[in-house]
Amino acid sequence: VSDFRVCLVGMPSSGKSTALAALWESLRNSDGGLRWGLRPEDMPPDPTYLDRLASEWRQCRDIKHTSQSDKPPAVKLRLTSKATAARRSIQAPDVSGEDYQQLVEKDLIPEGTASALERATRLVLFVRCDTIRSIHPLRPPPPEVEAAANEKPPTDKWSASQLLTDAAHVALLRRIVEVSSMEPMPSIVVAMTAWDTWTQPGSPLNAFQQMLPLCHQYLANNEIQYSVVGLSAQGKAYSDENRKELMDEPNQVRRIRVVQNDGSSGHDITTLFAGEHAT
Amino acid sequence: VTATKPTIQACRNAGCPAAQGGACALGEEDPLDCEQVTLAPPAAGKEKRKCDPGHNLGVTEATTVLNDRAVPVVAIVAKNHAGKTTLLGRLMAELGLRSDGLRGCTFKDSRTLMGFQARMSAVAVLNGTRYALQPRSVLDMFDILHLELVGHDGKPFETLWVDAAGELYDQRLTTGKKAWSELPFFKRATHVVVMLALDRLNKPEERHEIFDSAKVALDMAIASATWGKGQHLVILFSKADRFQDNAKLQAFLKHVEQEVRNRYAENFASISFRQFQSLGEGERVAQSLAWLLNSIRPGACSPSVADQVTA
Repeated sequence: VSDFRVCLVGMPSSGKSTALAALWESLRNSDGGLRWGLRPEDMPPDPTYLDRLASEWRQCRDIKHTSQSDKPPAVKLRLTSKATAARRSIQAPDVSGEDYQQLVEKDLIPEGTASALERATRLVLFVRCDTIRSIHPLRPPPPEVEAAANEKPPTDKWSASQLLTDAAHVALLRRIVEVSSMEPMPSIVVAMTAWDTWTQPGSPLNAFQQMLPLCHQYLANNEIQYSVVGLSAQGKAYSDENRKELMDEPNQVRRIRVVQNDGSSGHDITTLFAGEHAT
Repeated sequence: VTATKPTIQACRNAGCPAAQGGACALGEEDPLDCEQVTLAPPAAGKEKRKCDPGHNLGVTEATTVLNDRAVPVVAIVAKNHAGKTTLLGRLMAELGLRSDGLRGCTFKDSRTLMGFQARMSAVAVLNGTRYALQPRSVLDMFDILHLELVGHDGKPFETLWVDAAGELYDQRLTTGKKAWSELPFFKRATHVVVMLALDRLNKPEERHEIFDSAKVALDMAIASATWGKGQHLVILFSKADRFQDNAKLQAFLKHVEQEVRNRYAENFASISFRQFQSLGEGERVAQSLAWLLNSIRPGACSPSVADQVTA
């Protein structure tokens, strides 16, 4: 059994807990089509936390955010490859997004989260593609705006909470490197979440490079291996109309969609945690 | 950052020796992975790990970098509102616009990422519209920013950028040459970028002053041995778009170029000139910034005549 310590990384509401919920629902109730599965003898002794997440997921409720704590909720699963019978022990503590936000904005991270990070052999970075704040073409201000700004410079001090999404993720990654002693840096799987909302053409990798170009440059120039997938773990946004449609889906696992860069897609979220990814 | 490995306080699995430093009775290779263990609370003051805020390098940190390796240091000096800080903000903004960076020059790292981002925020939102506004450096201070890039030749290089407040420039003009030699990072600059804001040509009372004050500053810095043959001088003309009379503009540029060459040709390793409109349209800004980065890259040829400002 090879040990896979996956650490889920992402800002609040980026989809980490939703992905865990979708994973657990898939393992428990899929009628096939998963590359990795859970043998009955490998059932975790206490699945309460995962059951709670999956229950909320099935009812199309927003997953309650993981609270900050000294020890993030442990998620430990022993998965078996359907093709090769290879086994992987997946440990993916459900780290709170607020911990990461605090790391970017206040330069601090709880000891337990830092410890989880430095023990990781894979990072899954969740980037929600429907909430990316990016830079737009700049234009000179009208003279009256500039004059007013020069007369009375903005008094609000800049803070890291104003970071654009791209820079925030560079700051997050380089701070993770700084506060943990990961040597070498584990490979990263970038999950572009809420992929169902992405309407532009191109692959998830294109979307990542287009929307987070600085982050791509940082990873590439520091020789950090990464791959990108598109992930729609809840199916659609939970509007009243969508909720009914999602809950009426007889095979709930079909709500999940994992999109690869070659255009292929499927409902198997297990590969995000256990599978190999071309970098 | 000091890492402290968490310690196990207790194990809910009765009789398990993990809490005493032994092996996990449930077979976990690392007992910390076991769901049954609870961790000892970190020692007071060690509950969180802290990382560097990354706003700017202190003089000691920057000195450590320079004592360790040869790194180009770009000192940007000018009066207030010349666009020094906007130049740095726009540099980072342009690097982050495309996945292939700025004309093939890409971002590798920055120990002062937040410092750059703060400058970039000045080119951000106001009432829902994105404008490039003039950010202000902290009065009487200079910030040292760090940027690691990969050139279009694939070779990485580090740079330090000294962003000095306009007030500091004015102060030095009035306090004499000794005050210049007190600025260690001006002295360690490899490239001195003097910005001349061309919008001031619109104001008759400031028309001569912008260039005259730059000459005073250069004279003092040379006399105090702050700058000399070890440095490359770059004159950046900013805000050219704010001056509409093209004939007068070209005459002024020609006059500055001629006089700077006459006066300082012997004092610097090289002298080059360039127009830079930090608020201008993307392609021209990118071209100017790429030119600047290419000029300061270690091993780069000094800027060619073709790159220098012409009509």
